[in-house]
Amino acid sequence: MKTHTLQKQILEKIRERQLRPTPKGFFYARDIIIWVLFGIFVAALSLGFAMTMFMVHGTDFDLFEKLGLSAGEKIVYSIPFFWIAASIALAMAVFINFRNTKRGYRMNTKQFIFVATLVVIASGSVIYSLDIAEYVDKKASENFSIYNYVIPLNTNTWLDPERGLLSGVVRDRESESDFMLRDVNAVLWHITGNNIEISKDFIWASGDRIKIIGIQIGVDEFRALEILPWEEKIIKEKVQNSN
Amino acid sequence: MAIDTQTKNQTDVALVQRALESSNAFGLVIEKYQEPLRRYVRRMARPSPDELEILLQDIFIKTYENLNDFDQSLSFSSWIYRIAHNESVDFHRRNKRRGDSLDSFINDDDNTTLAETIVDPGDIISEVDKHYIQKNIVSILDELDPKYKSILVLKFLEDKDYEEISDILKKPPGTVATLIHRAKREFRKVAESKGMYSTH
Repeated sequence: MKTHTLQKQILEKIRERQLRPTPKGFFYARDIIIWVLFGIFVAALSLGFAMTMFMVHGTDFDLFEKLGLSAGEKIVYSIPFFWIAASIALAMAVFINFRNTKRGYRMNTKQFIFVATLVVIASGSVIYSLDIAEYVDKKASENFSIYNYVIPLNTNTWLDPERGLLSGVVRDRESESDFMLRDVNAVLWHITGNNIEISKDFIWASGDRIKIIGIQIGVDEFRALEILPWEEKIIKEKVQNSN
Repeated sequence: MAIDTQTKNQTDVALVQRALESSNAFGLVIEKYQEPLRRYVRRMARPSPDELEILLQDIFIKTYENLNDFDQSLSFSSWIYRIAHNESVDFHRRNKRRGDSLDSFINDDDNTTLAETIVDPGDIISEVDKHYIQKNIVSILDELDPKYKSILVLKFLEDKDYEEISDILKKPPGTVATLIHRAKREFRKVAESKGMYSTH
C-alpha cells in the first residue's frame, strides 16, 4: 500500500511540475568542463614545476656574493618558495578535479600520485627546455609588481642597467671590450670597458648569451666591469676553477 | 553471482531507457528500489516517518532528473544508492541527532549480523555484552563519524560488496577496505566507552 502511495505521489509531482530528465548534452558539457579544467590545472602544475626547475637551476650564487647577501638571504633567495607553494596548491587542485571526474574516484591515491608525478615531470621538462619558464618569469616580473616582491631575484634582475646589471645576446663582437648586445626587449646596447674581469675559461662569441655587471653610461651604452656566462652551470665551473 | 548482477543491471538499464521515454515507466524504478532505499535512508538519516517519505520523494525525483547522467558501465543500483546516500548525509547534517524513537528500525537479525561481524573473532565477550551491542547498535552507529557509519551500514546491513561501496561512496576500492577496518575499530571503541564491550 505504502509502495503504491509513494510511487503515485512521485509520479504526480513529476507531472505537476512538468519535470523532465536533464538533457544528455548538459552532462556532456559538464564532463567536458571538468576535463578541460583538469587539463588546465595539469598544464599549470607542469609550468609550476618548470618554474621551480628554472629558479633552482638559475640560482646565481655569484650574484649573491656581488649583492653581499647574508647566509639566510642566500637560502631564502635560492629556494623558489612561491613556485613551490603554487605547485602544491595546483597539485591539490589537480587531485580534487580528477576525483570529480566520472570514474576518477576508482584510482588508488598512490597510483594517481605516481602517474601524475611522471606526467608533470615530463611535461614540466618540455616546458623548461622550450624556455617557456624563462618567458613566464620575465613577463610576470614586468607585469605584476607583486611577483618582484615574492621573487626578488628573477630573470629581470639581469635587465636592470641602472643597478649595473645587464644581460642579452652578443652581436657584432669586435673584441672582448667592444661589442653590441641585444637584451630581451630587443634594445641594442654598445658595450665597452677596460680590464673587464672575465674567467679565463669563458670564451664567448656573437650569438652567445651573457650577463654583465657594470655601469650605464648612456641611453644604450654600458661600461662592463665583469662578464659572466648566462648558464649557472658554467658559473659554478668558473667558481670552482677560481678556487 | 556475476551473471546475476549483470542480468539485474541489464534489466535496470532497460528500465532507465523506458523511464527516459515515459515518466510513467519511472514508476517501475520506484517500485523496484523504494524498499531498499527506504531501509537505507532510515538507517543513515534517521528521519521521522513523514520526513522519510519526503526524503524518498526527493531522492527519486533527483534520480529521474539525472537519468541521463547514469553511466551504464556502473550498476544502476550503486548509482541510485549514491544519490540516496548523498541526500541522507545532507539531511542528517541538517538535522543532526534526533530522539531514540526509531532505534528499533533495524531488526534483531540485522543487529546480530552486524554485532557478530564487528566483534573481533579473537575477542571473547560475554553474551550479555553481545546482547547490549545488538540492542544499542543504532546509538553506537550514531556516535560514529558519518564516513564510518555509512561504510558499516553498506557493508554489514546492506550487504554491498567492495566494488559497490566504492561506487556508492566514490572512494577507491582499496580505501573502502581500509575504512571498513577502521570503522570496525571505531565501533568497538564506542561500544567499549559505553561499557557494552569488554574483552576478557
